[in-house]
Amino acid sequence: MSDRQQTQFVQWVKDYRDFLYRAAWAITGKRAAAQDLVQETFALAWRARHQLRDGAAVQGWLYRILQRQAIRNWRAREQAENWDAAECERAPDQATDGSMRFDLMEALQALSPQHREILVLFYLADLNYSEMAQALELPAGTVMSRLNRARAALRQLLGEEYMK
Amino acid sequence: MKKDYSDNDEFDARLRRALRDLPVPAEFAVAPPRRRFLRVGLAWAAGLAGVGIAGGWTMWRELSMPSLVRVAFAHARDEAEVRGTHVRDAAAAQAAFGITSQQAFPGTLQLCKDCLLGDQSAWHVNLYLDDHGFVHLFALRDAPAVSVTEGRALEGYWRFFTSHSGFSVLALAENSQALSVITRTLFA
Repeated sequence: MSDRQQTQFVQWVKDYRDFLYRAAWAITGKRAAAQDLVQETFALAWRARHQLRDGAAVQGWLYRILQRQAIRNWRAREQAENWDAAECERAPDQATDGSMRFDLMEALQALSPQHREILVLFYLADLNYSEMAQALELPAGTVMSRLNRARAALRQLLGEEYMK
Repeated sequence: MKKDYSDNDEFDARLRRALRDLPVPAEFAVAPPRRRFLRVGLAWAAGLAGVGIAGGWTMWRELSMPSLVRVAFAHARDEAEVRGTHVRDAAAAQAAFGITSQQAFPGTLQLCKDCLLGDQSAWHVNLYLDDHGFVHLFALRDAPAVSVTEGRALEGYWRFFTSHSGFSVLALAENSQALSVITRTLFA
């Protein structure tokens, strides 16, 4: 690795490590898995760095890599919910009775993967709709509607107690 | 970066704060990808070794080929476009290949001609076999002294046979199956 490449890699780590770690933690719900995922993401991103077009949003691009790697890891461990299946919510009924108490991480894990990934991007990254659409490879309209549904689902899971 | 949405309420703001405040472990260091030059170097070395082995094998094959075969390939190339029967005694030529007057050459006869391969006098027959292409046969008037009787060259496959009438016959073909057909029909 040349000095210039080394500098670029260090800069990426400096700029996006924390964001990716928090995103990975929120996606996987596990800190150790998040660390592995971030390491894998940077390694994959480095190998694919020539695919990054000039001026493209690095943050969104890295998030896309992280998200894909998370899916791969899930599938490899055979723990996957069907990521590509139609959007569905898990456990909203339990949450509505008021007896369940979710903290944020638990609530995120209870969401469908599609809702989780869009919320993590929405709350963690300073991206506009167009950039989120690019990162998630979805039309902007889908991003808006999915985000609304995801927020509503999360709100339902966390309950009013969370606001107090 | 300009956002085209705003926190619609305290709920969003609170969640945003909560996620952005997730602690990142201090000891969490991201290592740069390992240098790949070793892997790349090994791949290159393996590739070069492969090319070297293939080149060496080809060179060895060419060098170990009897000179008569090399001359025959050159002759076949020169006369590839020549057609017709150009022998004084067609029956004698046919007999040299072990074919009686009631029999015919397999495939389509393209050429039957007297020729010289170096200092060897021979009958040259060019046949076209459906699905297998052209085969050049040389019935040599004097048996050659060769230690290797078949092989593969850059230009194709070659094999020496002994015809039913006792002549040494050299067969050249681009397709190995063509030689099998010739073996089966003429020299079995």
